[in-house]
Amino acid sequence: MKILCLCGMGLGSSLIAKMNIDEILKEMNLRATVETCDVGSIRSEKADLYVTTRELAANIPAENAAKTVILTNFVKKDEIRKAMEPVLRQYIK
Amino acid sequence: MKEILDFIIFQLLDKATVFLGIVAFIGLWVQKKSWSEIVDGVIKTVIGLLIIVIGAGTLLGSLGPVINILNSSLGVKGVVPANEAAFSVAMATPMANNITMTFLLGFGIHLLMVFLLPWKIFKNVYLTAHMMLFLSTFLNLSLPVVIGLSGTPLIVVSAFLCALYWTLTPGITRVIGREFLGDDLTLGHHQQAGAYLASRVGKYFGDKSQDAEDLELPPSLAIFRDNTISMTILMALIFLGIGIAVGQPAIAKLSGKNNWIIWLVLNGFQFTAGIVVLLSGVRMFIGSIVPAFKGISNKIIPGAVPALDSPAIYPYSPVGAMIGFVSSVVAALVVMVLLIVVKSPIIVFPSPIIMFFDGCAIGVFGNKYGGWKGAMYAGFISSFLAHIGCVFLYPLMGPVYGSGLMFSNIDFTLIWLPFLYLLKLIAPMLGLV
Repeated sequence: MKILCLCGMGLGSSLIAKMNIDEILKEMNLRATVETCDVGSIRSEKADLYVTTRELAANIPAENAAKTVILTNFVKKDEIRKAMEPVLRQYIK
Repeated sequence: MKEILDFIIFQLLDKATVFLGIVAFIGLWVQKKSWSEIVDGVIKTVIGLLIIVIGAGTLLGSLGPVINILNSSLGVKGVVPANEAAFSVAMATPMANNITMTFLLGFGIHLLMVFLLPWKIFKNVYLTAHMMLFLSTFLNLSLPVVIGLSGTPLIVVSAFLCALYWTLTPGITRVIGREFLGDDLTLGHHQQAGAYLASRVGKYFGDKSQDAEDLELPPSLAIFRDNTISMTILMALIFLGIGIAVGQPAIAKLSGKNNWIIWLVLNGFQFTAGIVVLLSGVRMFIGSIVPAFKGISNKIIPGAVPALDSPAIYPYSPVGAMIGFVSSVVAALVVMVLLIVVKSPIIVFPSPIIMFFDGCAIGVFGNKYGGWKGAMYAGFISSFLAHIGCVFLYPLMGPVYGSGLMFSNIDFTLIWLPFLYLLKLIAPMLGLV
């Protein structure tokens, strides 16, 4: 499974998100590749699950909307866990 | 023995790519990463750095000739402030190693300062490695011009100044942003003094109760959040603008049989393509360095708040950010026209970084302290100052001066410009020069 974290440039906040998601996956004992990407390259980067913030939600192409998790914040690990846990369990069986 | 040492120093450590590869290796090894993760991190660091230099070649190949013709035919120096681009130009020179050393030493001193300072507001760790490299580069370029430093003293002084900035300024945004950011994160993107300015301007000109988030902006504005799209449009316009300023005959010498207008637009596109390549290199390289930094800081200073890049705060006020962006664009155009009208020897073109990254961050703070009007005034004033500041900072850029590229953030103008000019003034009195 591949998870893609998206932010404007793909090098700041998405990287923090990646590190947090990596830790959450480890805690849940799940395996997945987490990568970062800028929002402009989303069409060329295929993933099973996309993670982004509220502010960029409008930039997600419609065909990916169903597999996108929208967070208010890439920093609060608890919030990320709450939003991601059910989705991750569903994807990784 | 001497041959072996010489080989290690001049053939291996003197190459920034190899040097940083070794640093990545040590960082990952100390964290007890698996072999596969170490190999991944080291290779991505090295290849990422090489991609940065390739990106630099592409964007200089497109901008260089056009800027040269502008400079020679109108007797002015044109400059597009764009951090990544200016950084990549410096990294393609032999100073790459000094920059890397400054960056690493600076981060070490920064951690030590955060560890030692007793105040909670300074318990922040600067985690935007790309911005840290830009500041290291900026000081390595400007200090030799201002006080003639070189060699090891240059590295040490630059690293110390970087560390001071990385330690103190995130405290500003931690305090003024606490109300909406909580104590979860702070800003570490060369806009911390700018954010303070925005909070003052917002309070003075605006009204906090008129929250920008209640406004509806046209949804089509969202496409400008895509860096590639805004940069492509902007650079095509800048190239066209320069072309029209120097006239068709001058451009025709460069474009050959191609139509000059089409040639200019395509060159603008090529510049953006260079930036996109460059960013993919930065992404690859940063992706391996930042987790190593975070691992080290977690061990030394547990519970420190991360100082992050400005997009991390846009979600707290997305409409405010957009308003800040739009008014920054207006200010950038005003500055350009103003500089042309007053016949300034240096013409600053609108900077994609100042307009987007500064504009949005400043807009968030402007809105939080003064509603939509606060965001608008703060975006305008900050972008105006940041662009004007480049007129005075560009000549201090040593080997990058004349390349048509320059660093670009509001804090360069608010903090480093007065600092460098003051240093220039007092250095002879202190016998430093």
